[in-house]
Amino acid sequence: MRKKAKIGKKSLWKYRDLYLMLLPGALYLLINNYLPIGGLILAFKKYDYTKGIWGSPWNGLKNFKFLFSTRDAALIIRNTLGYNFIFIVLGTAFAVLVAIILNEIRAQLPKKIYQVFILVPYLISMVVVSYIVFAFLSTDNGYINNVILGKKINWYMQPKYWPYILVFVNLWKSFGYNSIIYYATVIGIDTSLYEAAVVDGATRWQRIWHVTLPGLRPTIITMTLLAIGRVFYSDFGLFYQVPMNSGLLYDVTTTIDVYVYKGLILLNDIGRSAAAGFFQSICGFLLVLTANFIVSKIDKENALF
Amino acid sequence: MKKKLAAAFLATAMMAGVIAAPAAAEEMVTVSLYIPTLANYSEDAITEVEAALNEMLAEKYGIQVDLHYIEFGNFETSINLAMTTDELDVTCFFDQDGGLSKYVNNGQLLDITDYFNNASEEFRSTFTEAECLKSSINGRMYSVARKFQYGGKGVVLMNAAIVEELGIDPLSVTDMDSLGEVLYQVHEAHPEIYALAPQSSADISWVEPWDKGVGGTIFLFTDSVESTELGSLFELDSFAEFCSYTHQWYEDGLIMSDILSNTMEGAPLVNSGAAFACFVNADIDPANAAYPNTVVSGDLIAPRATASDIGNLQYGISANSAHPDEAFKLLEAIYTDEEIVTTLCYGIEGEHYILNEDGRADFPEGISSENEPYGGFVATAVYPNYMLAPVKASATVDNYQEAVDEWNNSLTVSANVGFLFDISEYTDFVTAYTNLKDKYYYAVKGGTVALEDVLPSIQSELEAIGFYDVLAEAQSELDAYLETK
Repeated sequence: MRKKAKIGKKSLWKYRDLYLMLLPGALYLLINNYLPIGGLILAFKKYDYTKGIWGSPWNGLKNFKFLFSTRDAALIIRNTLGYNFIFIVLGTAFAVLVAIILNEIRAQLPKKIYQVFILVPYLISMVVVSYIVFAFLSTDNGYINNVILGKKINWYMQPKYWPYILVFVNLWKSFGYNSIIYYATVIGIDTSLYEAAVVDGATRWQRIWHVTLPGLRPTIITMTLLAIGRVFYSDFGLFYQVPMNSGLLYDVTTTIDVYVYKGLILLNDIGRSAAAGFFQSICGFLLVLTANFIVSKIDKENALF
Repeated sequence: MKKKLAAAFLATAMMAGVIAAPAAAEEMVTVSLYIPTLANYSEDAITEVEAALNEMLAEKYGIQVDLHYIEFGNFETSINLAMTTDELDVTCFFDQDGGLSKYVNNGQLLDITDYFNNASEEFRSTFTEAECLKSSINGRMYSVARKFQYGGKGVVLMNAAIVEELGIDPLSVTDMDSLGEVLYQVHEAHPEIYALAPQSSADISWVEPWDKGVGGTIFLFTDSVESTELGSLFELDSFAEFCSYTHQWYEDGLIMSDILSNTMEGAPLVNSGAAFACFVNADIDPANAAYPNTVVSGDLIAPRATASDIGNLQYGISANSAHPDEAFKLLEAIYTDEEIVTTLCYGIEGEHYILNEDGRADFPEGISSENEPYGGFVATAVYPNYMLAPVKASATVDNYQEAVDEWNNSLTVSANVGFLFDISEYTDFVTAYTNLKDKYYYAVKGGTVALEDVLPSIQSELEAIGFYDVLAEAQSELDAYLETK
């Protein structure tokens, strides 16, 4: 034990430059991600502004009740989970596809230009996206009604279209960023594997299937596990701003975050906001544990822990 | 030698002055004042006005003020955060949708009853009985109402060029039937524009015949301001009648088809000719004062104040204020001191506004509402008591106080004013109701769907969230309140 401690101290001193470089990031993580965890206590308190977090009275599980006290509960949980699973599946497939296509492009300049173009939607604010969508879908002046269809469809009154619209907008906005991550993995795959495959007479498709995709598997698993941790969250801008908060679309656009926002903006109830966040985090955490457990049973090497 | 001595004496005196002045200022307590911006304010202008106010406050009240102008859209979030610490002392807040009861339930506002009772007669007499009722919960006072005319009347703003072109008599429009006739006439002549635009965003009209905000809630309504029979908004006769018109108009293409996703204001659309008409609320100022290409109809809804109209903007002290005594001093000053009120509202004379020979306030040369560095002259309505400030050159009245008193005495005030329904035990219900209301309210009111088509679903959802039980409880409390009133 003493020897171990000595080695620890020795290595601490030996790698002091690296530890010093780690320090700002570690401090940031501690301050930004770990210290606020203490605030979760608010989920169990009836927050009183004069008494503060610690002085406010305990409220048991009452703050959680509002999430489940209406028959909308099933609807908002269904929407939140449903959309997220579609986003994970389609988003991953599409991003991997684009990453592979990027890798197959040989000319460097066009490749760089494509990378920039596919990343741009990710950088646009969701409020701006909502107006871009509106420019396409506006009943009177929208591009789709006027140029493509030639007839008037009131898109913001028809819930049946919105699952497709929201999935499309999400894919359009996020695929660029995700595909860059996958592309970074693809270019890191050992080139000798490709060379060996060529020598063995593998076609381009076979090289993708037998070399690229297996090389991408750890990244896909990690990204998917991280995404699973957030399936109880939703992109507020996507579900609130893009449908322009149209009431007639609520059945297909209300997710947990939107429901909580609309309900609590009137009440300033910090306790119940914290409870909603707590519920989302715990469910996400349990899902990550479960998914990681399943991954570890199938392929231990690719599990997160 | 004498000169040298005099110079040395003056230099010493100046040094002493420089040292003593901040020392004196340091002794004074600085009180923060949070106000939402409804116009443009430059940092320099705010600093100048703050310095001018501090000179007056130091001399008269021995306090200093720290002005915080917060963008309107972020205001509520900002004051909520500021109220978790002692950073905020005095703040403006909106009481629509039960703001006061929310802040009191959360322990955010200081109980100022004792301060108020011990305040100067001038300050106490500033507020009417109705205003004091709207600032109180269970007999305790937590804020003071902004001095303003109560409520309003419902009129329609119309594009002047089209009115003239089609020979429309705007004053003949006095109800939904006569409005409908005009809208159909305009739609036939100008199908390329919206005959009727929403008043703001997805809301077709802010002034409605029913009484809203009863009990300081978002879910209690009566059929009219005279009625004391509570009901669900969606089941009111007046709501059904209003929606039957709007639905027919929507079906016939008179109303903006994208009303549910609209983010624009109606009045500028009418002014520019992109729309013919929109509902607006009017009071002592003409509704078309800011829109030169428009004319105003007759009254569709007579002047009245709903339960939520009186004191819909209030000023209170944070429960976490470290200086409540000084904060109340500031509150008194911004309501009763003419000099301070004028500087806070209009800025610095000669720079942000001028006084004409007739004593009316006006923009200095080269300055307008577009480039005014201190937006208070434009957004005067947000200040505690603009009635003490000089009348503006653009005003149609000669004396604000008299005009407001006359207006307030002439209108019908909601029979339910003063009744407060404690929602602290119903917060889950309020969350569920808010979502339900948002789902149907604008869609039905704007005519995009027929009320009768969705009413069964609405009633079933109201039943599921326990609305009718809450309604019964609220009715019994209202009845008890009215008996004691």
